[in-house]
Amino acid sequence: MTSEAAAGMNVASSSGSDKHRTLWQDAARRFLRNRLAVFGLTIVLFFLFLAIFADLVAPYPYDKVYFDRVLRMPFDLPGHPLGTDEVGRDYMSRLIYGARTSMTVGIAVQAIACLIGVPLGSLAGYMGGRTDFVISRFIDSMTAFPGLMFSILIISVWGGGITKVIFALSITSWIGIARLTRGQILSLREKEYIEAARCLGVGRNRIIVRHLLPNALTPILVAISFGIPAAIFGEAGLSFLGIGINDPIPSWGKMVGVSNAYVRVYWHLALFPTVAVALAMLGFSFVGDGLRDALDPKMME
Amino acid sequence: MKLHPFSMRIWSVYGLPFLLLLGLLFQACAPAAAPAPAVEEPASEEMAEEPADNVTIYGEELPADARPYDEQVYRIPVDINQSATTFDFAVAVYNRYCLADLFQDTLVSLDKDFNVIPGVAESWDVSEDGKVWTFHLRPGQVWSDGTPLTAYDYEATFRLTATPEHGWDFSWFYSFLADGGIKNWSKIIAGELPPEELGVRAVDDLTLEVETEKVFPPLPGVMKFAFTLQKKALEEHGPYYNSSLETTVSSGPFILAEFDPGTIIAVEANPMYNGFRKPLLKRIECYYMDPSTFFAAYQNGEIDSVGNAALTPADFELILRDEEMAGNYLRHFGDFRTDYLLFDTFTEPFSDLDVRKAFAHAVDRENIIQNIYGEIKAMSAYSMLMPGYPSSDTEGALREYQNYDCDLANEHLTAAGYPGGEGFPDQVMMLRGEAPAMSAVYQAVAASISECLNIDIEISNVDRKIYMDALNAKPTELTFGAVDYGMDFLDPANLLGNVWKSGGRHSWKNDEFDALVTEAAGLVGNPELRDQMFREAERILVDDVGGIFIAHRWAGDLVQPWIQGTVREPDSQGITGFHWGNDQDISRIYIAE
Amino acid sequence: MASSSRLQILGQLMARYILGRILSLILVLFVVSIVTFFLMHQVPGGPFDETKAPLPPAAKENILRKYGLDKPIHVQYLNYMKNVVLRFDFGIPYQQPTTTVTALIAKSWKVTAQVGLTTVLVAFGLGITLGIYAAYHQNSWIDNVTTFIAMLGITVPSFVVALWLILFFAVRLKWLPMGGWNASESCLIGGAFICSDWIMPVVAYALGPLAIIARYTRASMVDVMRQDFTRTAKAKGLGNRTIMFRHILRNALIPMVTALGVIIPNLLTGSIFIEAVFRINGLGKFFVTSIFNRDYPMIMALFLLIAFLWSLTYLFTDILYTWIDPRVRLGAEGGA
Repeated sequence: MTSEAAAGMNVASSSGSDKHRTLWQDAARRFLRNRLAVFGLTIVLFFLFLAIFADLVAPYPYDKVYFDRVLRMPFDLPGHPLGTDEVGRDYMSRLIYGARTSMTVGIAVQAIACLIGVPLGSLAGYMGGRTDFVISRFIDSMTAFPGLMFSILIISVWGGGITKVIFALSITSWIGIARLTRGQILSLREKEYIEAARCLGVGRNRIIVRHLLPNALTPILVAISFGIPAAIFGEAGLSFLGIGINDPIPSWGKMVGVSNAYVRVYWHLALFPTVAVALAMLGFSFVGDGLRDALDPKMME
Repeated sequence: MKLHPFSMRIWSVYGLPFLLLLGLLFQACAPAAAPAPAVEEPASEEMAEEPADNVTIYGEELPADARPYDEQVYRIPVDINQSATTFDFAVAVYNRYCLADLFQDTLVSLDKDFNVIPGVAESWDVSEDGKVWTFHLRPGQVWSDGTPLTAYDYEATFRLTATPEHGWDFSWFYSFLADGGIKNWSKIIAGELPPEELGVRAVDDLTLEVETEKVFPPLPGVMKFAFTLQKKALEEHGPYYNSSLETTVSSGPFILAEFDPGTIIAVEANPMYNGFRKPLLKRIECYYMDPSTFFAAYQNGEIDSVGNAALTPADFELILRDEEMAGNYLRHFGDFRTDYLLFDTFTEPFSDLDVRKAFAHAVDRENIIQNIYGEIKAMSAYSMLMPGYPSSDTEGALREYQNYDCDLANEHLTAAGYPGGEGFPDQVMMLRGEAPAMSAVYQAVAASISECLNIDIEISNVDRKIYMDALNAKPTELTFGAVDYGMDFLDPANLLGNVWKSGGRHSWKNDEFDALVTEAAGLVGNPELRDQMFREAERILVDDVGGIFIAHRWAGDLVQPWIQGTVREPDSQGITGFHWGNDQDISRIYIAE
Repeated sequence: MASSSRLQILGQLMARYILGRILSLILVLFVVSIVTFFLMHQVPGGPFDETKAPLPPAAKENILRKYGLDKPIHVQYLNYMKNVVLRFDFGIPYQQPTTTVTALIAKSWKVTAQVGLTTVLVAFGLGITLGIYAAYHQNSWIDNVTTFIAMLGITVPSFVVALWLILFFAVRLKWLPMGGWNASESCLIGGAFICSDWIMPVVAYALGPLAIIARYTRASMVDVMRQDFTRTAKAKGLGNRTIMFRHILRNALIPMVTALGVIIPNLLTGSIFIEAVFRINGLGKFFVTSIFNRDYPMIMALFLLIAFLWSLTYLFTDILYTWIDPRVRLGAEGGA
């Protein structure tokens, strides 16, 4: 057990606050050296680019209907490399605009989730005692609501549309992050280097932000890297049940859901949005992994 | 120390699985496009020496190509998500299990051409003043427990449905018939009179009287809804007695044999039955499945019939590509269902007739039906009544009122003060929980309107209850939406009168229309004039754009090639398949080799 | 090193802690019941509204009176809670008035629990094994396959997986039945060898959780393996196996337990999509149909059931935390 203590001391000494600036610089450097992380970042940036500049990139508007081009296969017609959908709209354009919806939903939901979950979780984990009790019971109560049903109820009361969907998904998605953060902080706060910092009179907030959070970041980042596509699928599930985002606005989730009725013949309707979501997922996970490796203080040379 | 979680070979690792995924998709889909494997397991040699006496329990000889009586089992699917509370129409119409309506016969039935024919009632006559109908029941029909079926059973059932505490979900119907409704119905529902005062009375065991509030010629057809419970069982076990194998009792062609909702419901030929539709089938089984698996189960030969509602556009594509399957798809009228757009014509902007006309002329129906809906599923509609329904516009005389003409549409929009769509408020088209195929149709409709008129339309597909709540609210909360309606009984007094008369579900009012349909509904002795009046009423409806009619739906069933019987025989218009209100076809089905 | 008196104190602490948690579980159920009750009554449309024409007002009142829905909402709530607390009576489902909510849930839950438990076993067994193996053999082909399965499981929704499985193994190859679920007990023992209809639902259902578990295991294993105490243990010459079980696995289990707490209640309450696609007559479908039908007693019972299950799972995982990682103190006291 002494070895563990010694190890803790090592870590504590190497993550001194004076090195803070270079720590982030180092992290950025390490991140950029990591090819997969860069690949992931490229995918994410690519989709973000599509989402932001969809109007310029897409060959057709997402709602332009051609009655003579319904359900065409990829490359069946010049100008529609990914074919057309069940209403006769260019599928590539819909995918590109779908990036806008899906990215918005995914990122917005996770951003809200982190904004609520991380502070609550770290507060509970670090403070313990009554604070932890109150926050934990709040988290417990919220967790106890079945996510999908709760979202359906909320959307039924408030009506559909993208903001409502984001709102409904956020309400349940911050809980996982809060619990995770709490668990991490809980296991980290007893570490010797934290106690050392505490003995040295470092303030509570400073300890949480400077020492605990960076060390607890790894699983949170992993969780976020899953959370974004999870939110995209949450939206898909709602769309699958017919209560998601209004037509004719496309989203990948909705495209997958609708394709269910067509996939036995028109496989392209299922394939492309699935691949798009898979790629986005891949991108976010690589970025997450890369961040984890880059931010890990134990990897300092 | 190399700490990187992924190797550089990751590219090949990820590339390969994606190809595999692609391959899986191709493999999964490509063969499905090929002709479906026909299920031809029964070896014909074994069957060569068939016993000569292949008869039903009623002693009727099965057709020569029929399989042995023990194998006369008809298997159908039902939606596993269906919620049901009862088998009985008189308990909860909208919450019935599959295989409902087989435990009793109604007073009348319809033939394939929708003429009213005798059911339990072998004849009927009407009083001098036209308000009291007397139905004479077929003697000798008994319940499966041996109790005779009498007019008192019908009387008790009608009284039950009118009892306020019973809270019947169909109680709107006889109020909705208004003047044609059963005497005292509305007052009894409101608790102002006891159920004994209802205008349905048993005179003796075999005579039932039905009295209406006013003269209502289509009443015998409405008695298609005169289902009955057993008075005795009702008194002993309450209205849900059919939901249990111990207490179920039937006066219809089948009796309950297996009852496990969520898994299977099965019925078997009722040995005590001696009514007008003795079945050839020995047994009908109803399996709970997800609708998305119906078609595959059909292809696997696990079920004998799939209704059009469960067939996806891809399924239809596969059916049409396969000659044998296409031949076994029996397309029929269903319940003469029409898809249409409706709006709140009491408030801006749809209170302006020019706006409504602009919208009506902006829907490119022909293209939408041909390319998106599919001609196997629908025909373009320019009015409410589907051709084939009484007084319907089979000649296409009403076409011009709502035909697609984008220039004309824009003229109307300009006349309404929105030249080129300028200043027109963005619209949300509400849909009533539509599945992807119908949602695609309405997206095309919306696209057609927005493109022609330069108006922004979003589509909000909400759950049925939310939709109906908004629609039925007074004043309506539904500005613009799409809906469908199928008939309740086969008379224009229903689809024009009950449905479109002001004060009903639509926020549209036209005095001339109201007067016409009210008068025509009660008109006796001059069928030609009645027909003319309804036709004129429908013209007013489309001209004043109460709704924008999009499509008349074809219904249909994909049946296995071995399903034979009268269901495959055409009516006078050449249409085969199950016909609404025809209770006989199900009894004339048999399983052929 | 632990003396008996220390154990006693620990035991007392534990008992107090658990008691407190049970009290808070009751609090949670209470909160859930209130929020759910008032929220569901906010949803437009009532349970008996959906007919072609508006019901005559009198008829509608009749139905509402029959189900006690004519009273003010707080009275309805109090009546409901009174029945639940005093008589454990959850009412009658509007969808199937011939049975009770309790009977209906009990009946369908048996099947759902079978699906869930099998899936849990497969997902955790395979997930942890793959995760550990992948962590130990980083960048081997198994690692890559694991990562790929993880990606597939996370990126493809279960209903899509289910559809492809059906199209391929049932429609095309005809190896497996298209759906159904043999609920007989022998399947629990014999598993897939006897009941071939178990294979596809479990595979489709397990893929997602399996992926998450494998990834979590691998990530935390790799994480712990890098930590200094592992290195120290290695330096001390401890055998690979000892290191793995005594140090790495134990430490890596903490995030795993968190994952477990999220996944298990989900699996136990069933999947709407999986049960629908494979025609499994379980609890899953009621989650959606109850809301769509405004089946208030069913909605309440389901929300409370899930709330109860989740709270229970979290209680267990929290106790597991303290058991796995002695550094985590019981929640009762502490703090700076």
